[in-house]
Amino acid sequence: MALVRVISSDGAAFLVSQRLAKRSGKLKTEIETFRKSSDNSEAQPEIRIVTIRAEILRLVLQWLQQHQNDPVLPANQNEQDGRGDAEMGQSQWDRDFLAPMDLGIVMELILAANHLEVKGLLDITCKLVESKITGRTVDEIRTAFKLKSDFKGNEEEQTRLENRWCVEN
Amino acid sequence: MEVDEEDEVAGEHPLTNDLVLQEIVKYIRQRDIPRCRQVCKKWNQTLIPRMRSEIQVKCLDQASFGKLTRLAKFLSVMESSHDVPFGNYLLLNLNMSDPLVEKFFTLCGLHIHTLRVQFMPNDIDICSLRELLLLRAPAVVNLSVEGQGIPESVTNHPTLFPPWSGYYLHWQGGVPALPFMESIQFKTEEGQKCHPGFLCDLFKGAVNLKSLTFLKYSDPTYSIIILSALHHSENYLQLKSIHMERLCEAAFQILINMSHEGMQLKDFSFQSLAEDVKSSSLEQLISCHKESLESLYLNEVMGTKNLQIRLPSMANLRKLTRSAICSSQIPFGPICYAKHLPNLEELSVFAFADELDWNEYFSETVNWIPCISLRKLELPINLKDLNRLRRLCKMFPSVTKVIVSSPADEIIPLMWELWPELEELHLSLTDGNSNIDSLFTGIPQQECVTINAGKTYGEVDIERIRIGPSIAYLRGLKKLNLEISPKDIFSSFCLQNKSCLPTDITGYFGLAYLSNLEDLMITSSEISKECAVFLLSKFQKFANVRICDSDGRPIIKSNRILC
Repeated sequence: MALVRVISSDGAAFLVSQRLAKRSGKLKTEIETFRKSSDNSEAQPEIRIVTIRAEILRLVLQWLQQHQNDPVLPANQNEQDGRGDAEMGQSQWDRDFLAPMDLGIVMELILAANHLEVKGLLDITCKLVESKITGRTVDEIRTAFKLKSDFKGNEEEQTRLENRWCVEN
Repeated sequence: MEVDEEDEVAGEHPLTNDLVLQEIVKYIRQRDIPRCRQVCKKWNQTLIPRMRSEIQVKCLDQASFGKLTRLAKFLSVMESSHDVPFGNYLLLNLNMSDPLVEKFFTLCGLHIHTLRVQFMPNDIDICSLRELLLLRAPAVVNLSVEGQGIPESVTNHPTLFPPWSGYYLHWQGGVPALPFMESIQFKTEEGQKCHPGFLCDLFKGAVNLKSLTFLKYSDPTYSIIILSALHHSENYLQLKSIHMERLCEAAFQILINMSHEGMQLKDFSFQSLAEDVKSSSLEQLISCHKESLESLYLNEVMGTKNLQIRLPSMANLRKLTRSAICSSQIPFGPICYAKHLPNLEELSVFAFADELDWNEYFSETVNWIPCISLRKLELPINLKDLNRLRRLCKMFPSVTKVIVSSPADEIIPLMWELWPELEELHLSLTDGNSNIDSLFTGIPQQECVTINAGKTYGEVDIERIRIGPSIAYLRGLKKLNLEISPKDIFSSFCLQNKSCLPTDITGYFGLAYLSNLEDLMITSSEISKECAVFLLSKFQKFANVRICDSDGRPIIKSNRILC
């Protein structure tokens, strides 16, 4: 089985099958670039991901392993409304996978999924955040995510007045 | 999912990180956008592009009789805006010399993304249109021209982009006039045909044109003028959508030529085909785009003969609409949806159930593999046969959105049983339907009458008296659109039978259980104000609710999107 060594920003190396790694658009490109530039067709590619730390990279690879037989979703599918994919693809395993994570980890996973071009993981993580937003009041959203309003003077009142023009659509 | 205090201590909150936000913003539902932009400055900033493209503002209404009162009110708010958050407008009475219109373009023009204009006579001339497109709203992505159009576009005198302006002559080193424009739509009133030169100028200027729509014309030869202009503009290779009202054989030949030269369509639709269109031409065109087509709308054929075609297998087709209302149709023989169109998500068949060749459209023999990709189904009109509904449910088990028009009474409760996972239901009933309360709640009709007479809603033990399926089964329902109209609108605009209207029984014992409902519209009912208010408390917090009385007046109208 052809393997590839994927190294995190903090130096942890993960040895995974190329078949699995190629389910990430980014890793697939890197492996193909390595193949073209290498004289030895048997050589094991080594890919350093400087923006993703070991804990997050492990989670991405774990998610890929679980979903290795799913069809690969095109990166640009449902650009305007990405929710459809997540609704269709989210399994009990995904829900259990995401359940213990705090917001910081989920954010890092979003960045990692985006960087490594793993559309399915990007869908479920973004959908998780969206589910905490939909149907909530402004104050509830702020409380749920511990976000503070930084509007000054009458800026918030102005956005409220502007929003009134959305009502009748 | 908890917010880690350390994230805040570290400085940047993860949900104000630009890269993260840009991803999440794509997933926020349209109805949540206005509220989300009030959370903080960063969220506001990140959501404004979606506001501009998706949230439409109707700031000129006909009721103002040209006084532009709504526009004046709108501008008084926008004057204080740091960054005008709107860019999608429906405009009427667009008199370019009016100072308010001028002020509108000064304040909002640069951000206009989608412009839908309904021109009245003498609203605008071709020079003002040129000024509008080049200077007043230069970043327009979607343009829709409706109403009476522009008189001079018929003659193209003076021309839209004259050579001296240096615009449109991109291939000669000039500046493209409309570099952002991706979609052009003309829905002008019957009879107005634009000059080929005008169309060619417009298409040439829109160097990134992706979608072309021409509707509301009846002369099929006009499609030759439109498509010849497109062909002549040499600007069709990146085109993805073509929607036409009526096509003739010569128009098909132009489309086929452009396809052979590299045009790859994702969406193709027509409202009708002229009698001279050959089956082979339609088949050839579809075949040219079989790899790329995602949406295909096969509508009517004029005359009396069918167009028999072979539909190629299309792996990317997600939406198929077929019409069989008139005698002429476009049959292609029974297909197995799961194999032939493996990613089909939406299927609409406009036809009367009794007149439909069910073997052509929904063959049980070839569809022994269920089409699990299908999410949205529009059922044939006047469906009466319970077995046919069962057959559809077996063929399309994953459906979550259904459109049903004038079903027989017995079809309604069967739907509650067959598709309990429904998320969206559009149901059009007529005064031919009766005992709606009973059909919606499973309570026997006699009991409904007794409960309504005594208004003893609080004393009812629903589980004891219910004998049939109820809409309350659809716990995941998010959107319900219930329209009730006279069966024969030519003889009367009034409902002939009030038992087709839902009452408080449907409210308290059916709708009140739909706690996931976000959107409810009932065009006619006998639901009391008290019940409507009770229902509002049962639905999702920002539900859009409009329930009307039997005269069509709203009993309750709530759009709490901004609360």
